[in-house]
Amino acid sequence: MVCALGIEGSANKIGVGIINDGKVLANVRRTYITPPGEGFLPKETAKHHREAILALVQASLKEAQLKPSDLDVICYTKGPGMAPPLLVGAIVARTLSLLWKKPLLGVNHCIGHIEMGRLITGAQNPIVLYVSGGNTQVIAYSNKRYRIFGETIDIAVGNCLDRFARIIKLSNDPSPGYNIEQLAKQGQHYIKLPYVVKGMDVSFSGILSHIEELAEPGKRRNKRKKQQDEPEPDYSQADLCYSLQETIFAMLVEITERAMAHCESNEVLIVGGVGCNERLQEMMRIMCEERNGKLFAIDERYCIDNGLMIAHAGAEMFSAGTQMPLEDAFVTQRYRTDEVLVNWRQD
Amino acid sequence: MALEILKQGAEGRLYLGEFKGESCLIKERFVKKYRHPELDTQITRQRMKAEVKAAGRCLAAGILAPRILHSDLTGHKLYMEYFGSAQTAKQYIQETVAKSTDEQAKQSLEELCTSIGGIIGRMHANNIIHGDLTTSNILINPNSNSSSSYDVIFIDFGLSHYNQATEDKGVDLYVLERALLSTHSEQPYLFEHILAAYRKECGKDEDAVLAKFEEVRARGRKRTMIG
Amino acid sequence: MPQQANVSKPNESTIKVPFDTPEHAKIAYRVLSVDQEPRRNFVQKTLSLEDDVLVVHFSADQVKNLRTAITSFFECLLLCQDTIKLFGPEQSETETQLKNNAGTQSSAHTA
Repeated sequence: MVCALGIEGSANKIGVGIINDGKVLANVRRTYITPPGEGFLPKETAKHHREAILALVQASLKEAQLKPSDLDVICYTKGPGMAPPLLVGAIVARTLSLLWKKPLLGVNHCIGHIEMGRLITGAQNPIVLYVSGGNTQVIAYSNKRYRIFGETIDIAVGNCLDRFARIIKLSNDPSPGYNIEQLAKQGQHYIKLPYVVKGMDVSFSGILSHIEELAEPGKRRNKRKKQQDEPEPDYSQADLCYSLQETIFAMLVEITERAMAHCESNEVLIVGGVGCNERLQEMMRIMCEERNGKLFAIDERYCIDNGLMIAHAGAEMFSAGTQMPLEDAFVTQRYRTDEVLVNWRQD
Repeated sequence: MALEILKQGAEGRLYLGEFKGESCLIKERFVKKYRHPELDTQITRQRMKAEVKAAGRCLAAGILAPRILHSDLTGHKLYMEYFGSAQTAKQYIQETVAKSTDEQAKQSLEELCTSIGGIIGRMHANNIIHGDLTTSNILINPNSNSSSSYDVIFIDFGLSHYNQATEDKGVDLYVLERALLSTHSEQPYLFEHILAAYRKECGKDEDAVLAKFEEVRARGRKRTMIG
Repeated sequence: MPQQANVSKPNESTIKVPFDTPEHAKIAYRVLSVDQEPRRNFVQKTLSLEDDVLVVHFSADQVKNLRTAITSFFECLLLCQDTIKLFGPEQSETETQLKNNAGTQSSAHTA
């Protein structure tokens, strides 16, 4: 029985979660929402987190109806992510650990997503598609590590979606990806976009610059043609959202299928913020059915960055005997999924 | 004629069949319902054409690849040479490790890597980019006629293309390195032997390709990951 | 090189932050000692304890870098102080209000 409190703040969400022996006791979160057309910057995001975090810790304890003395371990996100917001979580976690005399554990953000997904869905040994604003990875477990089979060779899928949403000035509330998903439902015409799969890797930057030109023909850097010669675009923003989703999700499903075939696996788990996109889930489900496989997906409470996943992964590490001295409780912007020794899995 | 399904790979279904009296492998890229129909048609045609072209280019350059006997673009089927007694390099590596002592396994896998690396080098020297180098896409075919006891045959050229750019060659190597690390994590020495043999065969751009490969690798490591 | 000239005459600053108890000062000392200054900042940060006072000494080649280092240090310090105030054992019984978290009363001064 491990009771863990987890703090997540690697990007624009700050969240605190409490888990006790695999049971969710609290999962509270606040999101830093920027105006349409603007992304979130490290300094401002850190400021947002600083102003929200202590109230979230209080709220989580209240929701869980626990006293600090009921906790066994304090967990925080060590990386990867933006350093200033990460540091907010780390400072509070360190202080709480010393105040309450509880051990402290730094958790890899990606591992948090994977373990949370396994806990909620009950998937045993799935191929994991981890898709978010900063990550795009196809992962399979083998020999005590989560190994990366495929990933983006440039920008993350969520970053591609977010940046496109900014170009067409969609609202960032609740998230740019959600608003693209809604607008895409009204899309009628499929517009051909570059489709870039290299082995088990994908690339999105070329697609982004291509669709950027389609969205803003006036801003074309390449002005070989005269403006008058340009035909009026016969597609809407909705068509662009629709086509973008169809193209990039097809790439993700393809590399996931490739990893399934290579690893002879028939389970897929989707985690990360982009993972709550219902069209992506639908496409993945169809692919799985074609190969008699099974899809495991989770909703936004657990898909989008949250403190609970850090608490859960930390609890797993704690029960496997992992310890971390305070001097090692720093944060790191780069922290690869396969760096972590998965000592809590027995298979 | 009812066909026997051999396997459902990532690319499509594999059947055993016949073409003009010769037994062959039929690879059917069935319609993927998850994709937009237009995108699906485009990808399927593109991949089939790439596969036919690259196999032809390889054979012309003296690199072993399945001969394409017939391509049926409308039926999404390719009829190709079947290597019935071959196993994938992935199986071969796993069996070798399981069956022999560490020392023996290391020696025979190093030999295998030398020949894999040499072939990839020759492919790149001929500007053939495989596009999906994994140990599932390399066959080990027993052969008593040649000096070694097996032939190494590359398959699955659906993602291949013809390009002399060092970037593409670098990415090709990076894809392979990562596939090896994730599939054969217990044998971390495989890639260095492949790379050593590769360098001897990859032609005049050796240094430029290697520099590009390092750059692609660094991109992977240094990418900041947010969220 | 101007930078080398500055190394022999560094810009310095010492901050003294008193806490309610020596225990709390020690907690802040340990929490804030973990993070290293980014190497390209050319700032040296040394933390020490004098009973219930946390003493932080900065030295930098340029005033600009000194300011950056001190600003980010203050952000961490304030967050740590607020956490101690809200969750420290002395305060745990009473409901502490969060409203005042921007204006903490550390008598920090620079030298």
